[in-house]
Amino acid sequence: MSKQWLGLIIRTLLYLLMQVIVLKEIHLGTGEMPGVAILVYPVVLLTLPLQIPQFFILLLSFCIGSLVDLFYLSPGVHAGACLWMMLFRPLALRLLEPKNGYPTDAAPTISDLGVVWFSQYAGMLLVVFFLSYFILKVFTFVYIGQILLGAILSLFVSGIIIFLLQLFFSFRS
Amino acid sequence: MWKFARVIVQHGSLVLFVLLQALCLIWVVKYNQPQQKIYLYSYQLMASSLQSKVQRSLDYISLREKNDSLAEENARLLEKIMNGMERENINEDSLHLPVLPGPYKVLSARVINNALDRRNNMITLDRGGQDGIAPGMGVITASGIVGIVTDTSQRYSLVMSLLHSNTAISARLSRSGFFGPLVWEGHDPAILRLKAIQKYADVRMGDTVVTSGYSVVFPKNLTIGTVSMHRVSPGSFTYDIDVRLSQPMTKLDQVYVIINEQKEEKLELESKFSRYE
Repeated sequence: MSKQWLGLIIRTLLYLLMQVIVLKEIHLGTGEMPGVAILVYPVVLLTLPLQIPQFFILLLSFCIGSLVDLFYLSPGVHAGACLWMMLFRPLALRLLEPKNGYPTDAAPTISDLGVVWFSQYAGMLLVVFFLSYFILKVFTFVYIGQILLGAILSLFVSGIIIFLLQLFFSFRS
Repeated sequence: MWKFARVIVQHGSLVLFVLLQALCLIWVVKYNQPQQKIYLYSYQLMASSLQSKVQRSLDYISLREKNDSLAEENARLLEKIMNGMERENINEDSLHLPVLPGPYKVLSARVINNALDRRNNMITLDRGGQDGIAPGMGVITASGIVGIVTDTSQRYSLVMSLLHSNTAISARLSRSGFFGPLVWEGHDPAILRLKAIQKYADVRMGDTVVTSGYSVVFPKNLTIGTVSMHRVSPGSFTYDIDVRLSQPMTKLDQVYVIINEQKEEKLELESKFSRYE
């Protein structure tokens, strides 16, 4: 049990380090407008075990978002986006609930619930994440086109990376 | 205690979300420059339009009062015209509307927002760029000066009030002709400080202070206020002169924006001065 938690913490730290050290330096897109943001750390929040109450999930997402904000020098933007994403987590879980319920002690990962289930689940919540991220970042609906374009492109790029990483780890374990 | 905590954990997640999200939004507009700009701009826009709506409805209530005062003013003007026809010379300066010589045009506007409680106070007017107002124009009332336009939008304009730390109006003692910058020290909204008047100047209580006309913002000889205190600090070469404003900044409603049509010409000529330095 404690081994599972230790693994979770280590995985979280690794993802965060990768985000703020490696991925932060990759700039896709042109001009000064927010281009494509490669954000994979939300997968840490996505794959938190189902048994954790929503209350702590929200607290955790706020903390992790704020931590990333510290490195991106954008207080409130990542934290806000994480909160919005995690607000919809219970809804996504209810929508995608298997016929005979979730297995006990499951985490919403590929190894526990399958490739199709995970991609639906992650896809839904990442749409929420990237939309709210770009809304908070651009902060005006005058540039709604930029918000949508940035969200779609970022979702595409980050989604693929997240999916591949998850797939890799599920095979290994 | 544990029971209470459990109830919060089970049912408080939505409240927690709202609280944390509010915190995030506050952070976003407080610590992120582009977002802060957008927020302030939108806020100003919304506040201005709200204020003008409120003002309009308040105006409606006080229509009767306004009517009375207009009628009174009409009567006074009529009286002057009648007297003038007899005497053939109308004393223009005593008309209620300021009459300006030369290249100036006057536009009337209403104050829809006015602050007094800060170090740097701004005033919002209900007319803007589409009416011909541009940054750098002076704003006055019938009895004194108010400030300088700093920004305009389509329908509103922002005026740097006299009660602002950057205010420096070129003012002159009407009787003796000494001039200097007029600044606000930030204490009393009724008092401004006239600086750089040499200590050999002749200053008396109650002297009228007027605009010098050396800047392109205000024309010459507009009343600003009267000297309410003057002294020379020990060791100083200049007077400390307090000027009581003739137009109290606490009561602003109808104001006039001065458009100087020869401003560019004067500034352009004066910019050539740098060649001889």
